[in-house]
Amino acid sequence: MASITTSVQRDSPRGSWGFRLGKLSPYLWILPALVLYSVFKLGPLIGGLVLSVLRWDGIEDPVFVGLQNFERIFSDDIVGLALTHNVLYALGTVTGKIVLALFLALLLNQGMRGRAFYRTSLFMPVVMSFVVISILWSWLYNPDFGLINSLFKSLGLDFLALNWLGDTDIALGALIIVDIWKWYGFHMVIFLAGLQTIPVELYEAARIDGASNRQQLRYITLPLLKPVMVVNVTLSLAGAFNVFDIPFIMTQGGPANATMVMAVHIYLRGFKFYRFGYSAALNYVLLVIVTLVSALQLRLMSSNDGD
Amino acid sequence: MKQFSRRSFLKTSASAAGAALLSASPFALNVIRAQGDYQGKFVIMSAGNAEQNAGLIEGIQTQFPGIEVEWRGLTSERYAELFTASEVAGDQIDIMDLNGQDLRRYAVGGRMKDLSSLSYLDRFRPVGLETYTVGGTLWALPNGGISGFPFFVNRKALDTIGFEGDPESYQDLLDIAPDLKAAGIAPFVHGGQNIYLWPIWQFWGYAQSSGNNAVEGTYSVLTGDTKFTDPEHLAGLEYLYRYAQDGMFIDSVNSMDTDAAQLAFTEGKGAFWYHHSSFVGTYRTGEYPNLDLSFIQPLRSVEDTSIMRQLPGGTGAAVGIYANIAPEREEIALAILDFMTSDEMTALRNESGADAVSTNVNVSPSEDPLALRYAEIGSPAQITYLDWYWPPEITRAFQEHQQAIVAGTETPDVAAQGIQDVLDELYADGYEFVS
Repeated sequence: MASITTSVQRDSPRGSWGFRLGKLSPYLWILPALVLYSVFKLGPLIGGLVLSVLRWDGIEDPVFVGLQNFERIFSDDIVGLALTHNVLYALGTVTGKIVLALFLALLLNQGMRGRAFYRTSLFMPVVMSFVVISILWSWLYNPDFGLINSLFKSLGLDFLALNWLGDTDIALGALIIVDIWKWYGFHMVIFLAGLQTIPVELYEAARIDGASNRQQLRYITLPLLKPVMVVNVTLSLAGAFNVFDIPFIMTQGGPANATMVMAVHIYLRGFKFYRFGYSAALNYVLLVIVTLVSALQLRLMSSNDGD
Repeated sequence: MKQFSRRSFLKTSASAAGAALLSASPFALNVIRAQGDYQGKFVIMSAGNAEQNAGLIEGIQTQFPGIEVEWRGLTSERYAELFTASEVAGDQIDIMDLNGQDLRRYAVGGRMKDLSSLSYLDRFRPVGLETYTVGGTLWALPNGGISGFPFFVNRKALDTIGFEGDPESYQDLLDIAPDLKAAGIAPFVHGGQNIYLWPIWQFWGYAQSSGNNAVEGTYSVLTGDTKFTDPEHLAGLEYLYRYAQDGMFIDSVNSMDTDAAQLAFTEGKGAFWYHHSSFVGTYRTGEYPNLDLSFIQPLRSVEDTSIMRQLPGGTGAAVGIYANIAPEREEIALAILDFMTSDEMTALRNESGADAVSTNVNVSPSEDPLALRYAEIGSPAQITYLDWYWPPEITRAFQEHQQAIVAGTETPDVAAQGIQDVLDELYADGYEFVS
C-alpha cells in the first residue's frame, strides 16, 4: 500500500485530484474499520458515560443525577467483595495460565514426535464456547455424579472429593481452574511463536560455553521471551478483571456471593435490578481499574527491561 | 421423500391442531370481528418462544385474515433488556405476553392498558385476575396453567424404609431422616446451585409463619409497616436454617443444578425434591425405574395445625396490551387478546405446557392422576410467588442470604438484617410499593 501511495504522490502534481487522493488514501483504507470501531466501540463508550450520570430503569424517563451513581459505589458492599474476587481470580489465573502455557510451550518447542497433534489438542479448549465449557465443568465438578470426585474416590483419595462449587471456601478456586483450562492453549501458542524467534545460535554458543539447560532457560529463553510474556500477562490480566461467562453460568456469583465478580455484579445491577445508570458507572470504574492495572503491569515489566 | 425434523414436525402438528381446533370452534362463529381495517404485521412480545406457540400463531392468522403475527420470543430472563431495547428503538409492540413476575414492573411503569372493563372476565379463575390486578386495576389476563411448587416424594424411597402414608410435619421428616440416611438416601434434594430456586423456601415458610397471610404480610413489609427482621419473616429463614443444620439436604445441595437434582431424585438418591409441578409431565413421558412419583404440600413447620400448608405458585402468563400501541391497531389487539385467552386457545397452550390446572374455568387440561391431584389439593392451597411483589433487589438478597444460611456461613437473623438493609436502601432511593 505504501508503494502505491508513494507512486501516486510522485506522478501527480501538487494540488491535483490524484495528489489529494494520494494524501487521503491512508485514511480511506482505515475508514471502514474506523466506522465499525466508532459504531460498536466508541459509540457505546460515550453512551455509557452519558448513562452513568442518569437514573434510568428502562421504564420511567431518565433523570440526571450528576455523580450520584459514582458516589454510591463507595457504599456498595458487593463492590469491594467482587473486586477482591477479581484480584484473587487474576492472581490465580494469570499465574496458572502463564506457568502452564510456558511449560507446555517449552516442551512442544523440542523436536518431539507428534508435536502438531499435541499442539492442536492442547489448543482445543480455546475454540470451545464458554457455555459448553461451563456446563461441562459443572458436571465434572458435581460432587455426586462428577468424574473428578469419582476419580479421587476410586484412587482412595476421598479427602480430595470436595463440594467444588457448593463450598464457599473453594468455589472461586474451582472457577479459576476452569479459566486456566480454557485459556492456557492460547497463551501457549503465543509463547511458542516467541520461542521460535529466538536465534538457535545463542543456544549453540551457550552450550559451547558449558551452560546447562537451566542456565539457558534463565539467561537466554526467559529474557528474550519478555515481550511475549508482557503480551500474555496483559491479556490474561485484562481477561481476569473482565471475567463474566464462567462465574455467571457455573455459579451465578454464588454460593452466598463466594464467586461474585465485578462483571456479574454489573450485569445484575443493570439487567436484573434495572439500574442502568449505576451499572454504567460501575462499568466505568472497572474500565479505569483495568487500565490502571494494565498500565502498572506494563510499566513494571518495561522498567525491568532497563535493568 | 421430504424428511421432517423434530422441530418441523412439532411445528406442523401444532399448526394443524390449532387450525383444526379453530375451524370446529364456536369462537370462530362468535368472535367479535372488531379488527377494523388494519392488516399487516402484528407484534407479540412474549416470554415464550414462537415454536411452542405455533398453533396459537396459526390460529390468530386464520381467524384474522391479513394479519401477520410476528412473535418475538424474548425469553423470561431477557425480557426486560430486550423489551427496553425494542422500545427505545421505536419498534412496533402490540401485545405483551409476560411472565407473571414481570407484570408489576410494566403495570406500575404505565406500559399496559387497563383491561378491567372487558366483558369476558368470567372465563378466568378469580385467583388469576386477582394476581394481575395492581392498584385496583386489571392490567393483564391470566393465560395458560396454574402451577406451583409442591414437595415431590419418591414413594419408592419411603418404601425402602417401610414408611407408609405421607409425612405431614417437619417432625415426621426428622423421624424418618436417620433411616433414609442409613439407606443411602438424602431426605431432600434441591437444585441449590440455581440461585433462583431458593426464595420458594421462604414463600412456603412465611406462608405458615404469617398464619396464611403471606401476601398481606408482604404488602406490609414493602410499604414499611413491618420489617424482614420481624419474627414472622425471620421464621421463614429459620425453617430453612433448621433443614440445613439438621442435615435434611443432600451434602452437595449448593453445587447441584436442576438437572443434577432431578437425576439424584429420579435415581432414588433423595426422598423429597422441591420442584415445579410441570415435572409431572416430564415424569409421565420418561422412564424412571427408581421413581414412584407423588407429592405433598410443604411440611408443617408451625405448631398450630389449623394453619394451611400453602405452596407457592403462579397463575399462567400475563397477557396484556401495550399502552403505547398505535391507535390503528388497538381494536385488532383487543380482538386478538380475546382470541388468545379463549378456552380453545388456552386448551392448546395447556397441552403444550402439560399444565395440571388451567387459568380458564371451563378448561380441564389433563386426566393424569397426579395432575388431578394437583388440581384437588395443590391449586387450592396455592399462594402467589412473593417475588412477584418483591422488587428484584429483594429477590436477589433472599437468594444470596438463603444460600449463605444453607452453606452455614450466616445465621437467619444476620440474613434477615441483610435483606432489610437492601430494602432500606431502596426506600432511601425513592422506592414505593403499589399494592
